[in-house]
Amino acid sequence: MAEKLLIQGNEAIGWGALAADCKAFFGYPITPQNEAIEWFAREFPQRGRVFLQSASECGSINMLHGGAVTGVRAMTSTSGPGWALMQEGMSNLSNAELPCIIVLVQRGWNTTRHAQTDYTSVTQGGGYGGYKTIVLAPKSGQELHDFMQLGFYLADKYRTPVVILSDAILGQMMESVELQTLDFEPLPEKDWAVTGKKDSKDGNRRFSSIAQGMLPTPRHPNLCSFWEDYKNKLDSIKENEVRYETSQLDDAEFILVAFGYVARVCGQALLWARDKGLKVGLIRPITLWPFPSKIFEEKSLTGAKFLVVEDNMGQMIEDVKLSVQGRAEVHLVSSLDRHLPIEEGAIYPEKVLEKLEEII
Amino acid sequence: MEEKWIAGTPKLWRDIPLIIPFCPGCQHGTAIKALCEVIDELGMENNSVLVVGVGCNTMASVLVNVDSVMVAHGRPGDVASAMKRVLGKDTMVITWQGDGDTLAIGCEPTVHAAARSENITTFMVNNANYGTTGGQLAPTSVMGQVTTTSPLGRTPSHGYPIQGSEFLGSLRGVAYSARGAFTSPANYQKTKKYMKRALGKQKDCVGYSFVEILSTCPANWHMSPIESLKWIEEEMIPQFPLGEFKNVDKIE
Amino acid sequence: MAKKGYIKINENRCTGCGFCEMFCKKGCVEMTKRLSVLGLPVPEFTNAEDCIACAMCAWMCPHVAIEVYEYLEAPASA
Repeated sequence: MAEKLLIQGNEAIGWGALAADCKAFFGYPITPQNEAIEWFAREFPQRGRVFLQSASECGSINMLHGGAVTGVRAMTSTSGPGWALMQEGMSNLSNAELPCIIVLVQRGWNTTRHAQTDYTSVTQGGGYGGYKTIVLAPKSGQELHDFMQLGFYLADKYRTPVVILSDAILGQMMESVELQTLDFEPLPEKDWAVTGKKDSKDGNRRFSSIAQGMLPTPRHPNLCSFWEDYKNKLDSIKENEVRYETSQLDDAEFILVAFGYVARVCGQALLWARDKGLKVGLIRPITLWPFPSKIFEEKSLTGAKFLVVEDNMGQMIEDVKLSVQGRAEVHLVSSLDRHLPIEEGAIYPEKVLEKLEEII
Repeated sequence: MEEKWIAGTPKLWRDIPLIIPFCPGCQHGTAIKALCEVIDELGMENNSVLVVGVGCNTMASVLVNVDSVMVAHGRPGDVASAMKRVLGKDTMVITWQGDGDTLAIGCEPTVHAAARSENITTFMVNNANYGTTGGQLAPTSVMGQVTTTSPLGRTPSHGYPIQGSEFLGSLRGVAYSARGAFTSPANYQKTKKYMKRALGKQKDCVGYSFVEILSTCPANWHMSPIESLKWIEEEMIPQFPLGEFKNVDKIE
Repeated sequence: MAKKGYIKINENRCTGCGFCEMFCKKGCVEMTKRLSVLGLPVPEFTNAEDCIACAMCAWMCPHVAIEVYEYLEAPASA
């Protein structure tokens, strides 16, 4: 059995990256992800890997561009304000089709406390151009560790940036994490990597551009041909990579919907509700994009009601409403339902149960 | 009768289907030609990576036959730093940028790459305005210069130009800093020498190297090509003197 | 005097800036009013006798439109 460590979620990111053979980390300090950048500063150089501290998050994301374009696995981590600065880079990485990972340890708007306020920004593509990136939402230290490996696999498979959406609670909480190395299907060779012509198989130069469609390349002679390819790629991700977890869904009349740490809160509420004889189930989207719309569509046809629980003012609820298309009631438990009406407050299972009983 | 090719299209120049990549009299082509020649003369064709930003300089990513990356406006300094650290000392990483790309939007990457003494080389083509977008005020526009965003001439209220070579030359992490121009065949050769020295610093792993190249922009200066060469000599060089500003073999 | 060399002008690249004429010390290149297929005035290599294949026109040409060749032996007199 693999080694087990009692570590913070932010450190689990590091161990997961190592298991995925990530070669380079670029980052800038920001609360609440500082333990992550400190982990990489401590552990990467001594293993012959690259650690580089940037001068801003604009710097981090562009250093990440530089790392990814050489074909090695590279990553950065940040929190909300840094994520905002990275949006131009996200557009560029998506256009240049460069695989990499961005870990976003969310905080509550501009407090340094926990929340889930960046759902819309990560799932809708916060930059310019209309791109989408795969978003994985772990709920524990173990999943943070494992999703780093899954994330790099998906990034390489589809040549796209992948966002791992953590938050202050997952990042700061210490949990037991098994340092397992996961197996994945073989990946295509990175013959596009820019490393100098000496490594080019056909002797031709490689050219990576953030303006695919503007400067003509053999692959994309114009913008519309690039758009067509890009859309096909997004469709293929939507078709093949939707991931979610369900609990007691078969006979459920009331369905809780939550991602990240809140899904664990809902897990407790679910147990209490079942004890009371309420037919409650849970859907936890793991990929926030692509959103698991189909399961919502199916369940909306059974007459079930939905209660979306998220630690923000209501962001994922819009995706749920889009998926059920008005066929089912959709209710919300938001940051306004925290046990204390301050930034230290959190959504407690009691509150979720209370809301459930209200709806019923 | 036997003959020998002396000069003209460099080996690394790519013949592209676009008709004219630069306006008549724009010396960006001259600068890219010099870059092709220098990389070739150093024998680094297969071990070089060119990182370009956004602006007229972007054309370098199409014209030079080495592995190239086109990145965000102003960000070649960051991208190149990361690439060099991943690829190691055997690969020469070169950034090709304009003056806005280097000293306005790209000031942070440039200054910090220099301060970290990244083992990369930055070539900045300075044409004293934003060429691609139609001739707006740049951080290198000279005092009094009329641009589309300083229609009455650059005044103290617009601020003062940044002397990139002197500024970067003052940083501890910089191994080499120089400024050249192409106002004469002699200057062409001298500037090429600066470019070669800068790349030499990278080859010898000394640290960050920087060369600024003054270039004409007749279309946006509203001058004939010949007049714009004269304008460089009379208006730019007094404010942007040519020469080497730092040249050390070890960063201390 | 024997010819030393000659230049070739690629009119598909030339934009007619006139730097070749300006920097040719021997007066071998002249701008003309003739327009290329691109609609730009082109220079012509008008004085082949005096060309010394110094290559300054090619160095200064921003559009890489000039190739310079040097004769390795004196051409036979016509």
